[in-house]
Amino acid sequence: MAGFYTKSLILVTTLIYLMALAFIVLYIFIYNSRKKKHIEEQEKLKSAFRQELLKTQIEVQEQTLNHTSREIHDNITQVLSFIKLNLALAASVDEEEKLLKINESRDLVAQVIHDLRTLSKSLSFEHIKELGLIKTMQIEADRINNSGLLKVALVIDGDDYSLGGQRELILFRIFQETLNNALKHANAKHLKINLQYSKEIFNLTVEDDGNGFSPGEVNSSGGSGLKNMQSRAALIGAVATIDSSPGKGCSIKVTLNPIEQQLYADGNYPNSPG
Amino acid sequence: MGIEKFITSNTVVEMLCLLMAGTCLWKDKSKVWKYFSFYLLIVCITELFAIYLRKVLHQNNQWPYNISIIFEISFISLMFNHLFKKYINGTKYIIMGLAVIFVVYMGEFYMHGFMLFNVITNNIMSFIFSFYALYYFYVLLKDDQYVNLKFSADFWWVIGVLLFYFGTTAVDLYWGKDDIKAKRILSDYIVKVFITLLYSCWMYSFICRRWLGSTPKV
Repeated sequence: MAGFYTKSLILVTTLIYLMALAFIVLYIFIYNSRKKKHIEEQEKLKSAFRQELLKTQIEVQEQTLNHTSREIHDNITQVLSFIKLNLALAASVDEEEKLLKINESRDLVAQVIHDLRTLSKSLSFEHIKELGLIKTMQIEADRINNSGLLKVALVIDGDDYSLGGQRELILFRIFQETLNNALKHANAKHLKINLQYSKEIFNLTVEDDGNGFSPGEVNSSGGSGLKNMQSRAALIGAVATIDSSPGKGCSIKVTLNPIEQQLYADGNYPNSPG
Repeated sequence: MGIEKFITSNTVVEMLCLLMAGTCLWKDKSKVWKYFSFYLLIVCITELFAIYLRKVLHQNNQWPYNISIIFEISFISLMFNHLFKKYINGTKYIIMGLAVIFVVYMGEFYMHGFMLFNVITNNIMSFIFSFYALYYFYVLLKDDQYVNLKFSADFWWVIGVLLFYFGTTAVDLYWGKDDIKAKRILSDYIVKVFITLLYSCWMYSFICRRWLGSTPKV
């Protein structure tokens, strides 16, 4: 009887152990397959981010080239033509006036050199990485202010810190788009840029006093620029909020948690050696 | 002396596994995998010698297993150490396990001598190897890299170990108790099933190692 009991016990225990083993193996396979899916999704996100970043770089470059072309045509060429004219006139005037014209031309050449230096800096998007977001925005704001198209005010709150090259590039591109909208569509006179730095949160707010629009109308008519801003912000783990109504200007706020590191936004450019 | 006496389900599956190991692992870059064939050779020799003692000389055949268990402990610990290396430094756990098994082995040797099988050592060893196997699965799943388990030699080798050492726990625990014939037959069947499962997993593992696996042969 005791032997029968032991026999049954061995059989039942072995079967229970076998079932436990089967369960463990099944669990391992399910977990591993989920891990595979997770890795694939991460890879897809990384790839989408790399593509978007490349697109952003190209757009920043295009914008910079457009601006450079305009600057050369509207400013530098004009000033150089004036210098040429000034020097030509200097040949036919008396000594005192000649000296005056030469001095005037020398000042103008100095101004052209300064403008060309500024231009050469903005020719490469690498300067965003080198100078940082605030300095790059300051240069852009100064440029717009000098052009007289808009009155731009840049306000910084809190102690600034680096958000990483990739994130700053995308934030700069969002700012460029906002600026374009204010210039091309909104007929705005004033633009206020506010950068808020705190330990927990970073905010970029761009406000204009232009025509404004109804967000519903923009959604139905496409509004790809605004959608682009939101999808780009999402790529760096930020949220872009657009607030506007007809006649009351437009406000675009990008909120980012600087501590939350995105796997694919590592603070480096994809083509950088680091 | 009929050769049929030596042909049992255990010897057949063990020799097949040895043959597979010889074919698949002979040129393996990893010395641990390569020399695992020697362990299988020792297993086959022990099994055949034990059959010879029992069926031909009609003598006690437990003592050869007390020798082969030393090789079993060493080779399987060595392989686990090798497998853990990909994820963690497991050497300290392996050395601790070896120390425990050594103490128990010597204790048993002192208690009942060399001629009786070291059951407690076998049970402790089974427990430790089952723990290693489960711990291996834990570190494997915790690791960030994905491994295709269907063709992973390491994974199937560990599955074989877990099946055998964990699956035969009940038989090991009731070894020698209520020693009636029916219980012995049942225990024999259970052990045979798990031995077949162990060597089948290992054979598949060797095939993965040689032809199917994509993991680096280190």
